[in-house]
Amino acid sequence: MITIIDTLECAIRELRRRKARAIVNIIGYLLAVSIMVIMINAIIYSRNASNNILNVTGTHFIASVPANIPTCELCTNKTPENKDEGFVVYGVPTKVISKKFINQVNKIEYIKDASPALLYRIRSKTDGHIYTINGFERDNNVAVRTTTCAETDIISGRFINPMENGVVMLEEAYAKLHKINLTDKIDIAGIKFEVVGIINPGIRPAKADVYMHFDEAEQIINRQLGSVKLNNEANVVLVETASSMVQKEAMRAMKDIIPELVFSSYACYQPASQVMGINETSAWLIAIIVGIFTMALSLKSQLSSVIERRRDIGILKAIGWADESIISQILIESLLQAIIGGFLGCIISVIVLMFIPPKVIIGLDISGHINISFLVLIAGFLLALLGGIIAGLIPAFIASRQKPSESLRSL
Amino acid sequence: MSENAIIKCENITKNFKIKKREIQILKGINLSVNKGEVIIITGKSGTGKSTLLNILGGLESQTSGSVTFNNQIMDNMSNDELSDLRRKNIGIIFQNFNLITTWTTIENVESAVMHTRLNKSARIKKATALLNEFGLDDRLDYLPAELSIGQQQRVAIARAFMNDPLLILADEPTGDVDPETAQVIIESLVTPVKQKSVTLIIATHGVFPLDIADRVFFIDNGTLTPKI
Repeated sequence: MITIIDTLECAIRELRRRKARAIVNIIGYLLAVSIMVIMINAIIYSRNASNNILNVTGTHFIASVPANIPTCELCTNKTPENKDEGFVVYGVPTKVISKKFINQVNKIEYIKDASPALLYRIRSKTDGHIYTINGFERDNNVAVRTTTCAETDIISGRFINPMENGVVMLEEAYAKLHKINLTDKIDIAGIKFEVVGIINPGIRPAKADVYMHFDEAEQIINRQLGSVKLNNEANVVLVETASSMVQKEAMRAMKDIIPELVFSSYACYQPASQVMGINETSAWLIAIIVGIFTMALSLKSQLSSVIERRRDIGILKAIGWADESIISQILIESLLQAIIGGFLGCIISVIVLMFIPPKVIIGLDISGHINISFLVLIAGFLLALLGGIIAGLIPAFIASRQKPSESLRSL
Repeated sequence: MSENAIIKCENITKNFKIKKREIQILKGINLSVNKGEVIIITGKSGTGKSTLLNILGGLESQTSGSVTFNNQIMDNMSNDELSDLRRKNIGIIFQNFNLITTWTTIENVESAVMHTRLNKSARIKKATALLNEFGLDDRLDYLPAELSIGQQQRVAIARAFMNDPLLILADEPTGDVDPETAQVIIESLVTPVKQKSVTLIIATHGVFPLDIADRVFFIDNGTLTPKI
């Protein structure tokens, strides 16, 4: 017959009178729970923060079809009269692709946004130099900002407004080379444009010398093409994927429609996603190792305690304590330590997460504190309980199997 | 078995294996003890006194033979059944007192009836009364280490009486104590045994007043013979 209150009272008495061991065990559970809760919360927070960063890193590319491959259903060759000119991507002549393809691309699940662009090499009618123009859609969507140019690239002046006409932006080096300044008027294929901005788009894949609205670029190119006009076509598809993890899938899905497509990107999406994976995997691994190590330590400590108390257990069995009374006694002692340690561990982890800046914990310079998941706290506490049960049950069964005569004889 | 017998053992043998050698400690012990009897088993160290007491108390199993306690055959009882039997009917006093060192006097005595139908206040009341009988009412909250040898053994005796036993098994109750303390312990043990008509079996190798016993047995080389 086991009475829970008696067992609990005995367990508390044991813990109070074997303070040093109890404190060590409680600290073990405290450390395990707090480290695990802090690490898991940090992992979740770090993953979200990293995702936010990676959303604009390695998630975009441009696609085109080289001019020399056989004509496909959605792409054709359109060659200007002047052989120095033409549709190019990184100096490679390209075909033009129907905008229907872009509509199809926008329906692919891995793609956040796709937009048409014109990258065209043209000869200056003033001094004969060769330069490239980039025509992008007026709505200036995500794909344009990440692959072509964005407001943040402005060096001087301003970004072209979607509503205005007859304005362009020049790439910084190109403007300097040709000594063109803001508000200057430049002639492109006989049409005058005002320079409203000087930009430096860095290494974006659809980099050009002159940036303008798509329809105005189309108008210029049609003048140069002569009789063969553009018919709702572009030579470049600007693509923004849903995340850096799915860029490969997005490219594959596009190739399913036009197998001849070639892609240009930063090529940093793979290392970026891998680094994210490595950090997360390492953190989980450390959290699991800490948990297992602490549980093993508690088990060892509880087992040592039972071995130390071999004589006491022998006495209790000799005076008539049943096996189940001995098991419940040792189990409750172990559980009590786990409950106290787990609870304190939760409190410590909340304090650490609330008051220590994210920069110290995960190295990200973000204001505020790391969000605390209630679910993770509960899971940490339950893990401590599980540890307490395992660390208690094994020694308890060992103790219950001792023969009292042997325990007393071996003194 | 005599109707009056509280415990009876028939043809008990006990073998131990020590370093691959089988040693027979008990060689066909027959003993029947009546209710209220005081029995002393005497003999040199290592002759099997403690082993016999352990078998009688269900702390150890015999190699062959049969033990019957109060008409219940103990031979095939499970550990829990034996624990139950001890908890309800048997008090054990050990040579080294065997008190739990981290528990106080009253906690040690009370522990004998913990996990029974007695609630805590009833247990405390009973333990206090018993310790009062043994002159330890001013030592209730003392740890064993804070008591003298004689006091420790009196606590152990009080614990043995806590469950109102039919049988008390005392293994060397005066083992390593001086004669004066031994006298106090003997009085503490025998007086309540006589008052309460409890059966007492004492194993001793030392000087012990044999006249307190109803019967005395001598154990040597694993065999038990009555001492006339």
